[in-house]
Amino acid sequence: MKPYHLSVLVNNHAGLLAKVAGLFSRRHFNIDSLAVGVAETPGQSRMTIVVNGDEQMVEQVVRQLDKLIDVLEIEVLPDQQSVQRELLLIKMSASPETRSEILQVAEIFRAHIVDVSHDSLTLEVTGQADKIAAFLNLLQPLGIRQVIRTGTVAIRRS
Amino acid sequence: MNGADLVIRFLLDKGVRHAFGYPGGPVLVLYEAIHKADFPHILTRHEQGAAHAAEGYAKVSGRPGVIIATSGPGATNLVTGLADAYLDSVPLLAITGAVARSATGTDAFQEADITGVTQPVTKYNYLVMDPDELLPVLEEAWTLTTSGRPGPVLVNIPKDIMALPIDPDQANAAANTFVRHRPPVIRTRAMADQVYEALRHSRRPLLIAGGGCIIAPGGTDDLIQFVESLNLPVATTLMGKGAIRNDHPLYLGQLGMHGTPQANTALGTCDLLLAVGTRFSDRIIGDPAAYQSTGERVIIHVDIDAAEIGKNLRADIEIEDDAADFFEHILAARPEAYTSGQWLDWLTMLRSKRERYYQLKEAMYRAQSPLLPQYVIHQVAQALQGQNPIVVTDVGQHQMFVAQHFPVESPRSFITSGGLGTMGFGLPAAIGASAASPERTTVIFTGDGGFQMTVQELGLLAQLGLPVKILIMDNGCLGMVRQWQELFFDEHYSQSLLQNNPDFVKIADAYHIPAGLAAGPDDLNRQIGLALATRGPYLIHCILDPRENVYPMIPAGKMPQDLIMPGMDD
Repeated sequence: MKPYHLSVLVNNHAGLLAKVAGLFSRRHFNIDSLAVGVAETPGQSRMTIVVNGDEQMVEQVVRQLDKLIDVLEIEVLPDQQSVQRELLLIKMSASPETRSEILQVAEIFRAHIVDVSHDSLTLEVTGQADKIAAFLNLLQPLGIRQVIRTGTVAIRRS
Repeated sequence: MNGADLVIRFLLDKGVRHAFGYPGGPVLVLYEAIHKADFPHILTRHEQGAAHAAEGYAKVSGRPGVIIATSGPGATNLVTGLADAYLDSVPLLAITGAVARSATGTDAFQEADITGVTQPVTKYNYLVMDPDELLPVLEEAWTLTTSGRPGPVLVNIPKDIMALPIDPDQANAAANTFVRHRPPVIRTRAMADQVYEALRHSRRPLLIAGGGCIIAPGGTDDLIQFVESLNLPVATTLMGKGAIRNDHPLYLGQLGMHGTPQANTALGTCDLLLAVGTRFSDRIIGDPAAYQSTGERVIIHVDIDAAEIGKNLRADIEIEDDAADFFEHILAARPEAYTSGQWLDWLTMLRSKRERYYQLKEAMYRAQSPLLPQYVIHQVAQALQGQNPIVVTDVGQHQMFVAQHFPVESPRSFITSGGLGTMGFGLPAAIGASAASPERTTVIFTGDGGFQMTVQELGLLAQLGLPVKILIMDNGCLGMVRQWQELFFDEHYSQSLLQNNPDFVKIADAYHIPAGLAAGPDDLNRQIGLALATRGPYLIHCILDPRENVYPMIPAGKMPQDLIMPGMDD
């Protein structure tokens, strides 16, 4: 079992997201994340779907997805030849004792401070899944209030 | 012209001469258009009946079956039929009414999210929210029903769009604006050498012909030529029944859970499996992982639906193609100096098994009271021999008995609910099948359980006067459930005995359909004679021995060699 990154080009058709989500749930495919946004051509979107499984399962996912009328192209992105990114927004409790440590961690991970109040800090960081996990791990003891993640988007390297 | 007129004109342009449906509030405008155009609409007695009738029509004719239903309950009543069609790859176009666009999502009277409900059981579905899209959607939906792997497509149309004035010229101009990209498929031509190479090394090959061989137009002629040219033994799935004539020397019969010993022996011990137009359902191979891990076997899987290849069994050679294309190209690609592998011993062994099984089968046709189901089916088959009847079943024991004992004479002539196993399918499907081919005799075998699920369609049958001969296989119980309870649940017949069955002859009489009772062999043979001499429908109520079980049988999840067939000693 390992995560596979699928890049799926689709027509922007009403109900398409429900069709894709329904396909994954009724065939018991494990979906780690799904991110979707408009693509370069008007009327089309590109989804990045991260599925957890083996090669055989991913092949089934691709073939089942391909049957959906609004799915135009599917690519399984090779790990080494693709760039994967996720955006994380995290709101931390920030007391005078923890504030400097949070800022240090943020600096190491090249996180931006996007909001600040007298008792909180909100940070933004992008990166691959393992970087996000390490970042969260370091912040864990410092008082996390809320975590928002976009899910991974990925693109093939030229 | 309004939206409803456009829908009806579209259907007429497509040559639709049979549409099965049921009216209601949000489709009143559509039914007004039906009235104005004198459109050939057939009023079933329940929407489920409309769906199964359309399936029967489509299975016999190969053309899309058309269904019309109203919003909410009308549309939800179609769900079973759509799911049935989805699993058996039956082309259906369902047109349903929806509440007005302004009321969508407000829980209006008779509103149900029918595109949501039917999404997992349709090939595709649409909710038309823009009147300009009505004709393009209908065109695309029509194409989708039969393109690639056929299936049901639903178009849900709000009632205000039906009533909206539509400029037909403008609609025509937009008709084919939906363009869908499809990737190129791996065709047989490129793979033929590999297939012949595998056959050259085989000692024990088997061809499985699935439902795809029936569906693909003209697929079966080339299939027969192919197996004859190679002397290749062939078995069919339930859905492939009729692909090759029953007494063909290379035909092993049906395989799977209630298949023949020779077909299942071949399946279990072959060293090359060429499977065409089949999806290896759990009724064919109960334990795919165990099957895959035992024996050295080359699997060649041909299917029009790439997602079926590798879903249940991993194939060594994958060919994404439809059955007709496959057989045409594989025949054309045969190398000139080709000699296939040596499998005479294999054929001889399978044929001797077949001989033995045929002897056991003959012994089942005993005349006794109460009647044996095998005898009833055999007598009807004998009476109709050479007449190429359409044979329809409901679901359960009688369905398997018919599959085993009724020799089907041509493709598209065995109409049954395979994948979904829908009780209640039989009667409405038989009516639709007969409507597609009224010059032939349609015979339907149905259980006392399944018959009572859609019995109201007797009204439709009486109205149409079609030559549908109904045999009610009344064993006073839900036979297949009873059989499993006997074998696997210590004979606890929990809720499977139907103790208050009605007088089915009287029911037929109430619907003005001639009928008779067959309590024993003499009655039966007289009733069969009467049924075939009567124009139009006829019903025979057969009283069966409830203890008769379906054999051969492979218990669920077991291997082909675990087949149980009393009297078959090897």
